[in-house]
Amino acid sequence: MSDSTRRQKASLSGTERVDQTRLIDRVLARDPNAERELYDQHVDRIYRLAYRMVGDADLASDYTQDTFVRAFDRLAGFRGEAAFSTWLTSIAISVIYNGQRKVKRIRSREVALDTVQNVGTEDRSNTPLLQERLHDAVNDLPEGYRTVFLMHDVEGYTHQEIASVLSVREGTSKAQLSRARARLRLTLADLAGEWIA
Amino acid sequence: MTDHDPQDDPLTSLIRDEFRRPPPTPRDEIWAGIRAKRIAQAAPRPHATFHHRPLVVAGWITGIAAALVLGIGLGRIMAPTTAVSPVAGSSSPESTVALSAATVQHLSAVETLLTSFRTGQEGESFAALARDLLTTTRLLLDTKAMTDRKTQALLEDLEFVLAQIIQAPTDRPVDRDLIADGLNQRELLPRLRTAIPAGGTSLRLLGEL
Repeated sequence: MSDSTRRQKASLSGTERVDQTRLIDRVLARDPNAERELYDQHVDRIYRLAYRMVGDADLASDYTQDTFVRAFDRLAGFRGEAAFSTWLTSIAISVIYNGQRKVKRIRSREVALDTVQNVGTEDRSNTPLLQERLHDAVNDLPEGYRTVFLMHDVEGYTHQEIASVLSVREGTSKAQLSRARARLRLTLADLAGEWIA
Repeated sequence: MTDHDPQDDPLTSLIRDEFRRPPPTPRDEIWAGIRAKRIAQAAPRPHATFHHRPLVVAGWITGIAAALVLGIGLGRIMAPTTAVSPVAGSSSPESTVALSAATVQHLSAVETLLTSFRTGQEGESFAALARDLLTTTRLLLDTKAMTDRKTQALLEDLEFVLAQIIQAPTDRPVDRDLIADGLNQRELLPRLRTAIPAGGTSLRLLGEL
C-alpha cells in the first residue's frame, strides 16, 4: 500500500464516519457479522504498526489480538470524539508499550542466565548489514521520537492523528519527528553514498 | 513545519522499505485468537475460595513491599554512584556545577509531579506546574553545556511525557492509561530516582559555587 493510499484511508470522509458509527452501533447491538466487519476494516493498519514497532510477527499478532479484545470490551465507552481508528490506535500503542515492557523484562532475565548480548525481540541472525544499521539507528532513537517517526514517516499517520493517539500537541509531534529525522540523518550519514541514490 | 511526504526523503524511503517490512496480516489467525479470548472472558469465573485468599493477599503485600524496597531503597542507595555526571565541554567549572545543581533540582521537581500523577493526587496547580517543568526541560535540553548523554536521554523522555500530561484531558482514562504505560515503559521514575543524588546533593553543589 502506498503512502498516499494509507493517508487517504487514515482520514475518513464524513460519509465513511457515518458508516463507521452505524457499524459500531451494530457491534454494540451484538450483530455477529459487525465485529468481524469492523475488525477487517482496521486490522491491517494495527498489525502493520505493531510489526514496525516490535519487528516480530508473533508478537505483532498477539498485540493486534489484544488491541481488538480491549477495544471490543470498551466499545460502549467510545464516544466518537476522535475517529474510531485513532481511538483504536491509542489502545494499540498502550498494548504494545505494556507488552514490550514485559518482553524486555523476560529477555533481560534470559540474558542474565545465558549471558547473551542481544536483548532485542527480533531474530537477527541472518540480518544483512543494511537492515542491521537501520535497525540500530531507529532503535537507538528515544522512544517518543521512534514512535512518532514510525507512525508518520513509515506508516503514514498524520500529525493530527499522532497528536490525538499519543495525547500530545501537533507541534510536539512535528518537533519529535524533526529531531528523529535529524538524528537518523546524522547516524546514517555514511549510508548516503552507499545505498541512497 | 508541515506534514511532508516522506517519499521525498531517500533515507526515509529506505527505512520504510528495509526496516521491519510487515508481512501480510494473518487476519484469520488473529481473529480466531480474539474469538477464543472473548469466549473465555465471557465464561463465568470461579470465585476465590477461602483457601486462595490468604495467598492472594500475601502476594499483594509482598509485591507492594518489594516495590517500596526497590523503589525507595535502590533510589537512595544507588543514587550517589550513578548521579548525573558532571557536564563536559568548554564550560567553566562554576557553570558546570550550576547546571548540575539546576538539573538535579529540576529532576526532583519532575519526580514529585510524576509521582502525583501516578497516584492520582493532582492539585489545582498541577497543570501549570507541568507546563513550567516542560519549559525548563526544553531549556535544559537546549543548553550547550548539557552533554551528558544519559541525562539528555532522560530529559528527552521527560519532555515527551510532560507534553502528554499537559494535553491529556482529565476525563479520558484511556489517555491517562497510555501516559502511565509510557511512564512504566520508559522506567522514568526509577531513572529519575537514580539520577537524583541522595542527601541534598544539589544544595551541596550550590555550596561549591
